[in-house]
Amino acid sequence: MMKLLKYELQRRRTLLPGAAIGMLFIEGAALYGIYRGGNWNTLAIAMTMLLAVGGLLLPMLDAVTKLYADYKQKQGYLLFLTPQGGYRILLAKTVFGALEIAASMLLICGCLALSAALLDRFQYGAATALLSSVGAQMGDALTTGMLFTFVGLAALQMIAQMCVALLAVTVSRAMVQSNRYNWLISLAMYFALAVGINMVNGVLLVAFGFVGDVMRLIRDESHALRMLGKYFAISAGTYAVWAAACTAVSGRLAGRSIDL
Amino acid sequence: MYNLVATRLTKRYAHIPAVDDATLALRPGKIYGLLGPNGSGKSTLMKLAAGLVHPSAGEVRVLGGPVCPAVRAQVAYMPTEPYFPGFMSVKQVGAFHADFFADFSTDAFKRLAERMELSMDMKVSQLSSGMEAKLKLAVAASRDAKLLMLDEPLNGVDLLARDVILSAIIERADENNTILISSHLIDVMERVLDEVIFLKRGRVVLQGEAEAVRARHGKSIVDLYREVYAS
Amino acid sequence: MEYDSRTPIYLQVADMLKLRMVRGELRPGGKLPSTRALALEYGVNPNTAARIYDEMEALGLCRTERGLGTFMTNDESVVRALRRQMAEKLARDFVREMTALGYTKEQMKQAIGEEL
Repeated sequence: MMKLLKYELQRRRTLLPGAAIGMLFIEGAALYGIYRGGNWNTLAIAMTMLLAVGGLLLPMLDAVTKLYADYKQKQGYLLFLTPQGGYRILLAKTVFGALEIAASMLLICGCLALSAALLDRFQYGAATALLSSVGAQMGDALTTGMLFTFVGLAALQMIAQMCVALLAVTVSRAMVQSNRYNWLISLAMYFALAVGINMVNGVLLVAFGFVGDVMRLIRDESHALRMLGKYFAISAGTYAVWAAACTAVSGRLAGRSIDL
Repeated sequence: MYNLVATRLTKRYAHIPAVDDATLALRPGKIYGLLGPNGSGKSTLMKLAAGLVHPSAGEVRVLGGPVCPAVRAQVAYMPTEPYFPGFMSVKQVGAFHADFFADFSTDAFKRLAERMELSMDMKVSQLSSGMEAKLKLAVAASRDAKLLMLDEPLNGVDLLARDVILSAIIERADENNTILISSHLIDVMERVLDEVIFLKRGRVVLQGEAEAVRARHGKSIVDLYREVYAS
Repeated sequence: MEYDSRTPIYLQVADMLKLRMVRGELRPGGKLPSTRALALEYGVNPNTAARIYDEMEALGLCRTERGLGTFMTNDESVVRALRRQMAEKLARDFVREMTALGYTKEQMKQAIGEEL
């Protein structure tokens, strides 16, 4: 596993630093916007959104394009000639992708914290004020809890989505030998499955009484923390199972059904 | 007993058989030549044995079992096409194989690379096609595999390096391993082959000991090749 | 090393070894190259190399001792007989080919005389 991760890292030895630097530049532009204030805040908002969306999408795109290249190009021989089963190879890709997502999220959070600090400094405590008002409405513990839940869930969801995308690429390649319409099939499968996760998650949440809990929340705010913990666990569970299942199926197909 | 057994092995691409009902049994301690024109199924046959491609029908068994990771650890396949990533240096290509293959000898690799005048620090993207061909061979020949399959090992290689490659192949051969070589350059390869297998449109049309063929027919393998493929 | 691919290669290499023996390049009783070294030197398959030694052993030109290697025969008379055999074959071939050219015996002798 470590050897496979080492190889996946090696292949990205220019991509990863490049992406990190790119993200820092974008954050730099956002910081500049905050510094100038007023109308420049628009720049800050736009850059921050770009950072968040780009930072989250990049690992997924990266994982998908590398796997597609491994199936399609001769360089894929290097990986698939190693005495490793398909499961191991796909698992390594999932693990590496998860690490990329985690790193990306950490970087994004770091940048957001930096932006908030600057916001406070140059716009008279605007960030702290914002957080306090939110905190006042929902209780301090809740704010931190919400933050962790949100970030953690977002990461898990991204990882699950990535596994779905890898499965989509693998299935289309296993079904259709020619390269021309693979991407179309992959895309269609991806959307179908990605929507699928969220539907299943929604169903599970409802099954565990989500609706009732929301009603109770409106009446009793302290219920929120317990509710959060429960739904974090359910959603995390759904995403984890989804990710594992997709990786396992991809691994089997890659090992037994795909012709390189 | 046998290092490679193909039983009615068939591989179809869009209904066209690349390998058609092939039955072979390759013994250890021998060097086999897989001969035939382009598109006769030589590469596909090797890829089936290497596990890169899966049979449409029939079966292939290597070292007594199906082509699973444990078996593939003892199989070395050298494809015709270049397949090393451009960013790797020659040294890193060696390191990669040392990481994943227990039977890979870094010392042997360094020595071979030196004999072939490949600098350890050069990146694959900087290598000429001839040098890349030599690197591919160096990697395959540095493995102590029980089944060594070389797909056109002399393609694109200059005359002097050919001798190095042929010597490397001879050095590798022992009584326990099987070497399968596909090549167009039959006149050069002839003297190194124990047995020859002729493929035509995916089917095995002729098989036999090289020397027996020469003795019996009084002609070289090249002549025989011309006869088999004349039609 | 060029070989005539129409005749068995092992015989051709055996002939080369016989020549070296007769010319004294290989020491009687001395150790001959291992089959692998022989294969590498002449660019042939290792099994072919083994066959070469088998063939020569059958002719009494060498003997293989398990674990030690293959050794050229000690017996000088065998080498001399080989030399005579090879010389006789050359002479026979010469006469046959000269006859095919239409030379008479006298003309053949004259041709040799001129050459020497």
